[in-house]
Amino acid sequence: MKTLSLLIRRHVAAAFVIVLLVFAVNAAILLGVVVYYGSRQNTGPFQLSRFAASFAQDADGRIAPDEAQTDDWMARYAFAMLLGDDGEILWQRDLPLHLNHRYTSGQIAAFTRWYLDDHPIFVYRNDFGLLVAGMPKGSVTRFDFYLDSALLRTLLQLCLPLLILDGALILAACLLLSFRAARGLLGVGQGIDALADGGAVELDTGGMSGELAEKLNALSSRLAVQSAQLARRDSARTGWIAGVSHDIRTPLSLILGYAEQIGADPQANAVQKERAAAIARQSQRIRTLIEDLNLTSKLQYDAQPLRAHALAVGPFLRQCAADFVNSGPADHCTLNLCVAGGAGQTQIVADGALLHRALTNLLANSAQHNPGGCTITLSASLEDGRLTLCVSDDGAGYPQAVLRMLHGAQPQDELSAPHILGLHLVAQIARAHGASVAFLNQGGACCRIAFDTCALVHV
Amino acid sequence: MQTLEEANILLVDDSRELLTILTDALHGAGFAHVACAQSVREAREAFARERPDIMVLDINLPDGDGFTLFGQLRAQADVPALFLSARDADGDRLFGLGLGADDYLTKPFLTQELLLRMRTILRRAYRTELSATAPVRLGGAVLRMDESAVARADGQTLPLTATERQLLAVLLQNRGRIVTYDALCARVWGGGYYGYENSLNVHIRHLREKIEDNPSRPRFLLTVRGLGYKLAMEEQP
Repeated sequence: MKTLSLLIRRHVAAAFVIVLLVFAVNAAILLGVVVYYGSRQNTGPFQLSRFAASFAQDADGRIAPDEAQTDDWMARYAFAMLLGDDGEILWQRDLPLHLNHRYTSGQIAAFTRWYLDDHPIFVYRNDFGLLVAGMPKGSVTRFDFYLDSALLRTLLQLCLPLLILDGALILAACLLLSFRAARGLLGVGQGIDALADGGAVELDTGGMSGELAEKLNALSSRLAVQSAQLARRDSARTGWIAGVSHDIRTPLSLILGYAEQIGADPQANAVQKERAAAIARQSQRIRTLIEDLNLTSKLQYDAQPLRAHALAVGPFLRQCAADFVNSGPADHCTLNLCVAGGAGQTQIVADGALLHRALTNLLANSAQHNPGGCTITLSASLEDGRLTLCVSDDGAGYPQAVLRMLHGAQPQDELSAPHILGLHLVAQIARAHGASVAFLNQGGACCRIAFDTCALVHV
Repeated sequence: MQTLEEANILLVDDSRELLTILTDALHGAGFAHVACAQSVREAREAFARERPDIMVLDINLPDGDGFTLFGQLRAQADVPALFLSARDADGDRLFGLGLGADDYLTKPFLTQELLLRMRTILRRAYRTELSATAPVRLGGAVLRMDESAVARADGQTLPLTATERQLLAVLLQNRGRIVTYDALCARVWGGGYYGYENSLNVHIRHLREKIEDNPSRPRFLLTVRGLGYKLAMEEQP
C-alpha cells in the first residue's frame, strides 16, 4: 500500500506541476506580449489626447497642431483631420481627396466606432472640434463589444468556483489514471516478489502493464518447468545413491558375518583371526562410508529432514565419547572430554543423530589418520552466547590438500583428489544446523563447530 | 522357557547365506531352536508350525514385505520382533518401530550386536518367565541378580539395594562398554536426574565395597574419567 500511495502522490504532484508550469509559461508569454504591445500603446497611435491638445489657433484664426510634433504624430496615421461642430474640416493632413468633404453627424457617428473607407478610425475631442485620425488599412481590428452587466457580474462570480472545479477535475483525473497505473505496477511488483520466493505467477495481462505482466507469466512458467526438472534430477540422484547403498548392504552383511565367524573359530590360528578382524574392520568402514555417502547426498539435495529437538550438551557429548570408545577403533588413542563452564548445562536445538554422526566422523578421522596413537580431545565451550564444539588431536594434522578441498578448492585431477567424504559430511551437517565450521591445523587436526545464539535453548 | 537360550527363534530373510551365518552364530551363542524362512509364505508356515519366542524379520522379501508380515503375525500372537534390514531410511526405521517392533537393526551389522539386542528383547519380554539369571562371577564375588545379593569370597552374602541392583543390571547389560553418568542416572532416577550425580557416586562406592576385593583399586567396576562407568569383561590388573 505504501508503494501504491507513493506512486499516486507522485503522479498527482507531477500533474499539478505540469499544469502550473503550462499556466505559468503561457502567462509569461502573454504578459510579455501584452507588455510589449502595451508599451507601444501608451506612446502609440491610440493615445490621441496629446495630439489633440497640441492644436492651437493663430492670429489669423487658423487652427493647426504644433508643427514640431505633427510629422512625428503623422508617422503613425494614414491621415488626420479636425472636424468642427458643423462637420466642416478645420484642419487635415494627408486626407485622401474623396474623404475631403463635409461630414454629417450620422457619418461622424458611423466612422467614430468603426472604419472610414476601411481605415480604422480613432477620434478625440478638443476645444476646436473632433480630431479624427485614420490608421492604415488592416493595421487595427476593431470590435463592437458590449456585455450584459448581470452576465459580467455572474462571470466574475464564477471565476473562483470554476478554478476550484478545474482543479478538482484535474485531481480526479490524475488520481484515477495514476491509481490504475500504480495498481498495474503493484501487481507486477508482487509477481516479481513471488518469483523471487520461488512461487508461481499468473498476472492479469490487461491494462498499461499488460506487456510486462505477460513476460512475467512466461518467465514464471519457464522457471516452474526448470524447477520441476531440477527436483526430478535431484530425486533421481538421491534415489539412485540410496538404491546402490541398499544393494551393497546385504553382501556386506555376509562379509562381516563370515569374518566374525572366522574370528570366532577356535581352529583358526592367530594370523587367520587377525585377518578376519581386519576384514571385519574394513567392512564396518565400508558401512560407514555407505552411510556417509547416502547422508551427504540427502543433505546436498535437501532430502534429509532435520529432526531438531532440545539437546543437553553435557550428556550428549559424554554419550558420543562413550559410543566412540565402545566402538573399538580408538584403542590406540586416548580420548579426553572437556566441557568448559556453563556449556555442560546448555541445551541446543539440533538433530541429535546427525550431530552424533558429525562428531563420530571427526573422532574416527583422528583415530584413523594417527595409527601410531594420539590424544583426541572432544570439547565444548560457551562464549558470548555461542556454543562451540571442538574435536582436536595432537597427531599429524590435516594434509594441506585436504584443507584446500575443505575450503572449496577444486582438485587438479580426480586421481590426486583427497577423499574427504566424512569431513565433507561434517561440514554439511554443521551448515544444516546453521552453524559455522572451521578445519585447521593447531598442534594437530582441529575442527570447530560454532552454533549461533539462536540455536541455544533459552530457558 | 527357563533361560534365554531356550527361546524359539524365527529368522526371516531372503538371503540363504545370511540365514546360515545367523543360524551358526545363534547356535554358537547357545540358542538351539532356530527356524529359518526365506519368504512371507515360508515365514507364515514356520510361525504356524511352532510359535516363536522372538522373530528377526527382513523387510524386502520376494513375495511381500516384512512390515506387512509382522502385522499379520502380531495379530495372531504378541511375539517380540526385531527388524533386520538394509533399508536405513529414518522413515523405515520409525515406521517399523511404530508398528510395534521391539528393535530395528540395519545391515551390515555386527553379529554380536544382534545377539545382544535379541537377548535384551527376550529378557524384557519374558522377565517373569525366566527362572534365573545365571550368576555372574567377578573375581571372588558372585552376583546373584535374582536374589539381589552378592556372595563374597569370604562367605558373606551382602544384599543389594534396589538402586544398586538397577545400576548393576545396566552395567551388566553393557558389560565391557562404557555407560555414561547420564545414562545410569536416567535409568535409576528417570528424566529429571540432574543433581543426582553425587548420589550415583555414592551408590557406585557402595557397590565397589560389596563386589571388589579392594574398593579403592577396583578391578571390575571401573571409572572412565569424565564419561561414566564400565563393568570390565575380565579382571583388570
